[in-house]
Amino acid sequence: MRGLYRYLSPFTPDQSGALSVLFELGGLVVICDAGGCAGNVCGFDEPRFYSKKSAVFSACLRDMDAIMGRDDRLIEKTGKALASFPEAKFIAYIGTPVPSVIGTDFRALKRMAEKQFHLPVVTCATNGMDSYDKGEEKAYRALIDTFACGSGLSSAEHVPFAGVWGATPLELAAPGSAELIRNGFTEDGVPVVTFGMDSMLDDVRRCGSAAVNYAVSPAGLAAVQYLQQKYGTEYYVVSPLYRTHGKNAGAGSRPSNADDSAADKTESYVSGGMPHPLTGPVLVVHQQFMANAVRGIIRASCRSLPSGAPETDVATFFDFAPGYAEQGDSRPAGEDEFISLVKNKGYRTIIADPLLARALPGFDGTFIPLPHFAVSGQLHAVRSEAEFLEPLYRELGRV
Amino acid sequence: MKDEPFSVTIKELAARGFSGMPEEFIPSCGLVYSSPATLSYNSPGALGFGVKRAALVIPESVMLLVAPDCCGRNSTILSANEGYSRRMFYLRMDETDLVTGRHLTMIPDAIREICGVAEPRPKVVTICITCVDALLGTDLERVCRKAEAETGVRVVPGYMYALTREGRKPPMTAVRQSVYSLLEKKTKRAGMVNLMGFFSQVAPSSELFELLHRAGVKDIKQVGTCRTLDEYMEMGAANFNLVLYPESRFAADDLMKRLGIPYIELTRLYDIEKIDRQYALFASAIGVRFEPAAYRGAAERALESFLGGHKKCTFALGQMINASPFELALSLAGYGFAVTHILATPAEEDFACMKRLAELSPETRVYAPTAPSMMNFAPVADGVGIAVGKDIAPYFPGAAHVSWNSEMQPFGFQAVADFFAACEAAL
Repeated sequence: MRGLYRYLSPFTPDQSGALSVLFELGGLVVICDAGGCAGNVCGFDEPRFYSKKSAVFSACLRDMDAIMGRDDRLIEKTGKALASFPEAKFIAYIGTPVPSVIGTDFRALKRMAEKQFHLPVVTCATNGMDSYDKGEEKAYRALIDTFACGSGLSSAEHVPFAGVWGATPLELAAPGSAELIRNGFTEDGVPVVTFGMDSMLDDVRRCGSAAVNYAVSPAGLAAVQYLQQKYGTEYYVVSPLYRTHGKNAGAGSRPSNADDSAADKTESYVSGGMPHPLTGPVLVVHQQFMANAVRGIIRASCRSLPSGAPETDVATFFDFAPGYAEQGDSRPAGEDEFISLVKNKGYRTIIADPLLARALPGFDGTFIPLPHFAVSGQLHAVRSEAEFLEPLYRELGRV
Repeated sequence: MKDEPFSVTIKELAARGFSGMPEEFIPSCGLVYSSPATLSYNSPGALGFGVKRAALVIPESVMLLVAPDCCGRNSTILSANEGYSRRMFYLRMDETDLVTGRHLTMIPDAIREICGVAEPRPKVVTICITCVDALLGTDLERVCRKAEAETGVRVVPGYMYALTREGRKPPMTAVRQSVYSLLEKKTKRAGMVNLMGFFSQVAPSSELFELLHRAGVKDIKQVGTCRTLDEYMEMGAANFNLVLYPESRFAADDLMKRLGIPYIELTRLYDIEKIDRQYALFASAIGVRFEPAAYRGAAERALESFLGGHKKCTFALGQMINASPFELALSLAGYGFAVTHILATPAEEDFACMKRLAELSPETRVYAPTAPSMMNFAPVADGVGIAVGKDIAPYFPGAAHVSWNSEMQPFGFQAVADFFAACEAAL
């Protein structure tokens, strides 16, 4: 039955994706909920919550607030909280199912709060029902619309830099992945900003003047495409694991050499020895660009084998950019479609978050764990990118 | 200038009373700061027994959560950690469902599918709905009756309405009613008592069991120890219910009305004298005589032992503990210890002991843990010997920590003895 999860459990929703983008930017973030959503977002979907301080609040809505639509009361509560956090650089309101049901007018809320507090206000009309990347997209767009300056920056602010978008803990392999991505670009001598991790509000302000933008996830792709539309900045899709130069800056098509570039990095990363081919067909499940990168690793590892690389498909439960997909790649709508996909295609190797194995009780092939925080949260979280890839490399016989 | 973390002295809080309590202590009057401390208890179902896990104490049952994805996200992690993931099922709502109510018509089919895959086959399915259905005005009882008629499986309504947390029937009160809702009227068994209040069991080492047995009670039932639905259903034959936690009062009232089972409330206390008095009153109410001297002696010895080594120990108390923080503070102050901080939201019943606490320890500061100003709370490095409560450990890095939050519920003299033993061990 569509919508029924008999084996799986819900993935990270859009409201958590929105917070993931905003978490480190120094704003006063209000999750417009009754309490439970804020608990879920902070406690289960935000790995930085216990290590970095961020001013995240629950609106603590009650039934009468919802029934009467008391936005003025929410503004009043925000004002009181600002007294405890006067250094807030902006205010953000993140939606949940409650405002979705009562039809909260987030644009009106934004205007009311801006007028009252003379601070920039960002709103994300998330609903708790979409996937996390939709929330990331909304947050990126709201930030760009509110803060980005295409012109009007001082010369001091006009330092050339490259922007990496879609780099949140929900998209990447491990806590240190954003740093790895930045380090991967240092050879170009251009400073790199990863939007979503380790960046500041000032970086968002000057994002319109970036020399180039990179997307490491489909949510990041939506952001860089918006920036291209708004400021004409060229963009590339790159691997979230290894820096790759997708030469095609235009929208829609796949960078032709992404897999080869990933392969080159892979070759230098792992030690020698003959690779052990995975039994095909292989299915890789993650956010689409991560899964593409893993497919690149498999192909690179098997390049020297007479049999070549096994047939490898990518699937994602999240945003799916057809322009970056190959024939056979897919987006299962839910648990039933995922089970059917595996059964119909007869996959012999599945590389996916360990939680997804629950949906495949009869699967007798090889299951290689590839944790995705948006699927299993802290349950299977890893500390480093090396740890993230270790099971795959072990299976490939190269560690 | 930043607001200091909001706090008042016990003296001031007692003088203001429940109705005059500063609004910083009322979560819905302000934004709630999401700190690790508040997350430990502020979110329904965040840790320990939230609505979902609580409803699953019905033996041989499973839960179908009918809700947006965000409502079930914590269960992805918690159900795996706490071992009930195979009993949780999800019917994910989308925006069309909000408009059409289509999700409600899918429930019978969903139950049939669940029964086809769940091992063992469930005898009860609890349907849990959340804030969105509260706003849509869903009549879940009717939905459950229809689903039960169509599927032949018992279907129980469960409500995770965070929007109503300060209302007449907050979620954790409502779920207690759901948990006992399947009980049916049975022939009374004179020697049978139900312990109500907790979802897990009362510590078997509590003297309560021994005292009841000696008073002629042969069978003591707790929902947390029932392994089968049949065993659970036997609770309908109890002679009376003992309510050990106030959130079960509503459920006990319901059982009194529906099944004619009366109830008596006992409070979890840490004051040895009061525990003794409570047992005497209880014994007299049921017409028996308790002899708890030996158990009292054990509690006194544990206290004396701790006093002997740590007479000047100072305490900070959190909210997420197996005690009322205010009653525990009063007991500790009565034993001669200093209580410097309480980080807890007082409930109405806590004010019963507030006046006496104000006399004994007027300068104890009570902090509003959910207030936005708590983000400015500077961790206390010195001056506190023991911080009680997992929720407040990060605020007192210089203190020894006693979680005092085990799922096995301490009660009576045993609670006092074990508490001081835990403090001794922590130091």
